[in-house]
Amino acid sequence: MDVLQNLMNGFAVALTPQNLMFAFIGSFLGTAIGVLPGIGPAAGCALLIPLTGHLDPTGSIIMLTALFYGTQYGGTITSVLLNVPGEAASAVTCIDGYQMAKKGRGGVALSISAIGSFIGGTFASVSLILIAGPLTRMALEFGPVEFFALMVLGLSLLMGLAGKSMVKTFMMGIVGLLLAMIGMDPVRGSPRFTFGRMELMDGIGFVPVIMGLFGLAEILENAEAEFKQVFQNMLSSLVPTRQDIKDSAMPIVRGSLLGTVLGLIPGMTNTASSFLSYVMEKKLSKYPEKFGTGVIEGVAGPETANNAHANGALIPLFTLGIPASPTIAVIMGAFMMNGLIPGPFLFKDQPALVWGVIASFFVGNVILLILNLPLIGIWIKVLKMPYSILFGLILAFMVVGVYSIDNTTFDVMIMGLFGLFGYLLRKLDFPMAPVVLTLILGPLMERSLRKSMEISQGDFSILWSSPISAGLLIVAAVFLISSAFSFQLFGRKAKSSRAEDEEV
Amino acid sequence: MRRIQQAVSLIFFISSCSIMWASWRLEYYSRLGPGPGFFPVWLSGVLAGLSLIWFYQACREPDEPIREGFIPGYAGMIRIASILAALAFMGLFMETVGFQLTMFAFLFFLLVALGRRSLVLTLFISLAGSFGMYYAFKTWLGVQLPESSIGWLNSLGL
Repeated sequence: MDVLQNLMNGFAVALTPQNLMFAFIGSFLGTAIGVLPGIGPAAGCALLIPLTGHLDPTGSIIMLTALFYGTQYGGTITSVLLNVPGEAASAVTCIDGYQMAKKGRGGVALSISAIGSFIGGTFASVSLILIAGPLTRMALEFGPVEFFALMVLGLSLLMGLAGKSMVKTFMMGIVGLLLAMIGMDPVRGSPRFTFGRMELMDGIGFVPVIMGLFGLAEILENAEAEFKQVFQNMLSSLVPTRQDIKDSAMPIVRGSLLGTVLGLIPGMTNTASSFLSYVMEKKLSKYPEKFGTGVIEGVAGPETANNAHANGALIPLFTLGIPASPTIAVIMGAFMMNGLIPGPFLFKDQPALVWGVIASFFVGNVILLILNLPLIGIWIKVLKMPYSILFGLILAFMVVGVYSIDNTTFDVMIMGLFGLFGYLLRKLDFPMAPVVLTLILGPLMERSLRKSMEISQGDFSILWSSPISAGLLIVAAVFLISSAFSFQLFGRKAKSSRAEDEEV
Repeated sequence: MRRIQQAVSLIFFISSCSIMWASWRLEYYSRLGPGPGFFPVWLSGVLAGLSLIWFYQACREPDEPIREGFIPGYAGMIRIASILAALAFMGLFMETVGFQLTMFAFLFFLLVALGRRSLVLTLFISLAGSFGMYYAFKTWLGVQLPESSIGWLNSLGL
């Protein structure tokens, strides 16, 4: 009852005209930043922080958090319409969302994304209220050993991203892991593969890599032929059919759960949530072979998961004062700039602020739904612009976005390099998604393994000494073996069906 | 296609061997457990192994003719090279000449070479995408885009 009373008090704070305006500004800017390729939520939040010094703390935190989860909505728009992820978590939406847009179902993909995002975000906010305590207590028990096992489980899900060849999928996964090794060694701090360049000391940023592999590679592919109006047949109704809603219902439910749970784990990014949701949907689908050709489940699941994750990732920040991602760390900085220390004491010392901000998550998600569904039509109209003009502007935004992260032109070169790399490897049917997933999970996995080894003085048996880590490793092994087995079966089926075709 | 697949698999193999060689120079293991070279050695080793498996698969599979469109035509190659050259130009000159002039040249070149629109429209988009974008990002978003390090250009506000 206390929780309900606090929440009601929070709504009283969140629904004041001033805080409603801050939630609106944050949601609007978040959507805009999500739409602009390359300017991610961390950069967007960082850009707004200087402004918050002049505002009321509650209003400024409401605005920043709304901006944070607003980017998740906006990032979808360019992923679906232009195949350029507005931010990293939307990269996986490109796979089926863009294919839907090519088939003239871009409006439906965006509508389902907005609805899924709303449900996912609201579900995670309810979770914050109901299960924050027990879940964060459990996450606190995760030491480096359990975290390593969790990362192994996450990487074992790579098998689900296997396209035509499992070997190529693994190769790309390892390329991502090797890229993650560049820079300062996470435990000792010694430089690896930096070639004496200062720019590589912090490693290769995943935004230039993602922009290159997904955005630039696509532009280069389009440049093979004379630029023409690519999107002319894409305008469609925004209203999903009954079948679309039916097909999206379970992916939205699963995405909400997955995103919220993974959001609780510090270090787990929402990119990982959306990728894992995609893999899960593909695994559970009755027609996995259709994934990648424009199925609604491939959009509904990941989009819901990344929004649920964004809201779920605020749970450790609010309850324990642990920033779960770089963007949350920026938001934590905003708290501290206002003289507030996030964590359990904040609930005791500043209940009006905490519950006001929590209530604003519900308000912000409603604003985003209202803001996005009518605005989707406007964004679709952007597609009427000839591609021969649009590609130049997309490239310009990509350059600005990539540059503005670390203020270095080196990242622009990295983007160009990975654009060419992605373009060439796509020709040979290499999947690009594993590179991104392992690039993000790689450093976390290495850090947790090496910390575990330091604890055990180099004894590997520590990895299965804890029941949680042993359980997670067993699940990963079962998943790997069963996936390899089913891939073999599927491969044989495909071969036999091809043979049958030839016989006919 | 077989020859191409074999060649690329060998490129992967050679690259992974060179990464492994570089990784051996890092500390592999200490009394506290794996060192900075532990992961890269294993990863490059596995990548080398997978490259050889792919090479083997490519040798065993029936040879297929090169897919249509696999190698872009001459005009396509020029367009791709133009985009990459324009990006390299941005990367090399943006901090010296300044964002506004480099982005103007970048957009103007791409739109003239690949967009083939009217000169007025090309000029308008190039100006909006360079000077306009600089103003918008600096004024409204607070993003500092590079100004020219050449004195007289900088004094002109470029």
